[in-house]
Amino acid sequence: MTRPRPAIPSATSSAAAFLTSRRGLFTGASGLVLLAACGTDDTSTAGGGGDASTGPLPISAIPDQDPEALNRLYGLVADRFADATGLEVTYTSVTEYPAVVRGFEVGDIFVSWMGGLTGVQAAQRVEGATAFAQRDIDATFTSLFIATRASGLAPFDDIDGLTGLAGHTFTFGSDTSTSGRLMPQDFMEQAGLSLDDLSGEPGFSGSHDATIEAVAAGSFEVGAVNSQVWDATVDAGEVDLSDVVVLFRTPEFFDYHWLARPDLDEVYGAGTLDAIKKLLFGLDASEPDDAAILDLFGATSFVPTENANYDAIRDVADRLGLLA
Amino acid sequence: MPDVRDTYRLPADSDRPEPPNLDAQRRTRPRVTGRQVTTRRLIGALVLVVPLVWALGRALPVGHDIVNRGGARLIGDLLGQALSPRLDGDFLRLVLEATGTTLAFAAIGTAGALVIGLLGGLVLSDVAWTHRPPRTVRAVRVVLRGLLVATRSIHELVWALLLVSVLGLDPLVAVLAIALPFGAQTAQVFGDTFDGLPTSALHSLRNAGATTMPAVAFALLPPASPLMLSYAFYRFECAVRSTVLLGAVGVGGLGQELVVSLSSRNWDEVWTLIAAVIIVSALVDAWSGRLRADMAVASCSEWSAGAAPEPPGGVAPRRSRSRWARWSALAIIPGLVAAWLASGVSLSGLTSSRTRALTGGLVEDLLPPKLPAGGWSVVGDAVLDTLAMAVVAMAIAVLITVVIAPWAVTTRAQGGAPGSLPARIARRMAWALARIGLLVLRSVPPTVWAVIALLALFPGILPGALALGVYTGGVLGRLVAESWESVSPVPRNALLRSGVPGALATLAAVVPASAHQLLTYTLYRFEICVRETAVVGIVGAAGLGRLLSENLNLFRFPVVSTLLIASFAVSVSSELLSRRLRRAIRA
Repeated sequence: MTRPRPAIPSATSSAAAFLTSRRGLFTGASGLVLLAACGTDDTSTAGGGGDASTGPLPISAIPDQDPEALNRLYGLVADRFADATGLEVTYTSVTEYPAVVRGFEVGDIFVSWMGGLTGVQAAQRVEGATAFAQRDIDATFTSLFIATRASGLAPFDDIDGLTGLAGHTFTFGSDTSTSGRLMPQDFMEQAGLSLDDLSGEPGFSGSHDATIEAVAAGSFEVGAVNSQVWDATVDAGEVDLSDVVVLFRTPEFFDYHWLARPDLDEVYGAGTLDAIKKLLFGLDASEPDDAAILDLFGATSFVPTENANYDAIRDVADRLGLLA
Repeated sequence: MPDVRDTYRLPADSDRPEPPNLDAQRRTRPRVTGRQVTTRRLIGALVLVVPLVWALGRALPVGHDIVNRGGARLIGDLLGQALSPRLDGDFLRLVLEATGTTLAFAAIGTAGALVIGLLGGLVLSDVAWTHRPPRTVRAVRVVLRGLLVATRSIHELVWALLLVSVLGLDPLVAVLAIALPFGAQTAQVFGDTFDGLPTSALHSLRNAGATTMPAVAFALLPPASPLMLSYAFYRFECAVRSTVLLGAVGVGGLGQELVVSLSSRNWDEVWTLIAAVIIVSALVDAWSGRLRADMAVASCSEWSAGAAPEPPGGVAPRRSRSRWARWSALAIIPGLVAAWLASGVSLSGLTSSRTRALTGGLVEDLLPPKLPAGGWSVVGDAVLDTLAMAVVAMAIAVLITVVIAPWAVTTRAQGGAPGSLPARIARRMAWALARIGLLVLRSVPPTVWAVIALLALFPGILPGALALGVYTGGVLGRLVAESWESVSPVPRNALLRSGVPGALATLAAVVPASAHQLLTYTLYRFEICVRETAVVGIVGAAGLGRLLSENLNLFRFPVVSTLLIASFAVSVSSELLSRRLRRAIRA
């Protein structure tokens, strides 16, 4: 078990240019332009306004969906965070889950949308990191087991039905995904299904979108996917899901949350965290601008949360040997 | 198209093996009986066949599914978009910008590698020291040699993953991930080069009272400079490929765009990006190849063997006045400045207190090394998987080479060339196709090949081996084709003139020599292939690389250090074995 390390203050802002949203470049702002723009914005006053030398507030999120979807969403989120705090806010896109945790640990990311497991990992590595907000759906989150019709599998209601996946090909999402790997694997083990019973090695598609498309294309017969991303995919109608059946909805668990570094207020000014909380908790589905964001999050509101909510995730991760 | 024939050979530790030194052989070869030859061939055959059979058995376990039949549709989707790449202005601008980033990172990384190489090379070479180096220097050298070997035994991609933990999301990660392992390699090459140079000028200066630095600057560096310049560009060529590869860990540039488009399954974008990678790679290859051909530097392996026919000081400058070389040398400084500005790299990350604190933390995390859950057997299995993957990959690479490389040999005007115009055109077309084919195979990074292989195969040894094999096939094919160009046509022509049919003459006169070179290069690439298994492991194939990335993802640093030590051991022992075998076939 690794000891949590005291937070190390972020020293530079040069990182902001590094992993700037790639598809965000379409909006015309290149990483370099953003870098050059650092510190030229004198309008920062509202939420306590950080020291000019600290640069923009870097936020990020685990890449659980396709990069386009993420950039659309977090572009909006960064804008709203900027309005609320009076700071310049940059969204840093990354290509894999652990990169968010690493960035959070070294202080290149101060506020991040984490999954259950990545949040636990980050809180373990940064002493005092706080989970401060979650969606209304996150306290009762579920995963879905989906399958191609060609697999011949039929929906079932009891967790023991998972043993029926034996002999079929199967894919997880990212290897440190909570709803795409951790909880599904735990439920499979609870049902008495070993990964060795599957046909071939389980795949790791990398994201929920990738899992859905892999199953829709028949590349894997069965996949485990986040229920909210599934709902969003069904609503969007961009993927042909006519050959995909939902086999099973798992029991509920705590999942995604916003996590902040303990030195957020110290570096970006007192009241920064409160300003972000106020914004998130105040999002109102009846306001068009707010609704746009809530819609992309697949939620109707954000509500408070606390670190203790993820103890169960920690225990499961420990049981599956997925913690350091 | 200019003849980019490679006249440049590097010593054993760089990317090419030394050519057999025939003179030395003739002098030292003992008498060999027919029986001894047969025994040796038999042992040789066993050495090749047994590992291959073992590796195939491991890669294709009985009773396990390997081919994922469902993947055919995604591959179909991918191929279906080949003719409709995404070409709108916005995306092309993005690709152009990413290309700039890739070139900038590669250029600065190469520059860093050369600085490390130059300093390291001077310390390692004997000639730079007036007398026998003092005891302290010798002790430092032993440590330095060990450090250099360790540094280059860790793959660029693994370096990048470790550096991110210390530097955070900083462009410096990409630069250092290139500069460190490449620098270690370069130091070795430069050290050997300096030692191979004629020392009379240096000694005269020294005897006339010059101090160390000026003597080295005026007597050692000038004769070495043509070689260093061509080596610099050769390294740049490799660095571009490596930078693309580093995209897998998100360090920006074409590689990262490729990873993002692949993970979104936007195949039209994937094709545009692959085209960009191939074009960049082709241009850089051609430039660096042209430079080497123009400079006609005596190969430094000849220098190190002391077999240079004339003092290189007299050979090299003759053609180093080529316009290409001059322009290339002139372009270096402004190119680096532009790269520096464009990439936004800053060295402040190296000295910041945060980096120091994080480095301390990482070292603390890494020590003491711990075994993964499952203990030695897990590590042992991963080591065997890694070796099996490398062996199967080499088999695939050799297959590709044998099929494509013969067409890629540039035939010089010679007596036996077929005359009719259509035949010549057909031959020329086949040559171009083969060359382009090899270029495509080696330009597309192995991570991308692995992602494609993983569409059709379950994770395991085979997809990794396939990905590495295809990529290595591109590299090996080119090396072997170029070395075949130097196979003497004289014996075959003699046979032809004495009435032996063409095919038979080729079989008797060309095949043995060609097979010998194929074997040498194959053994040599095997070493590199073992190291590169880390790359495909990271995208989920198998072996030490996969175990390493799993444990890095879970922040289990004590296990990571065990795996790094294991990789180091595997990579060093495969290098020693391959060098041993190469020496054995030369004898």
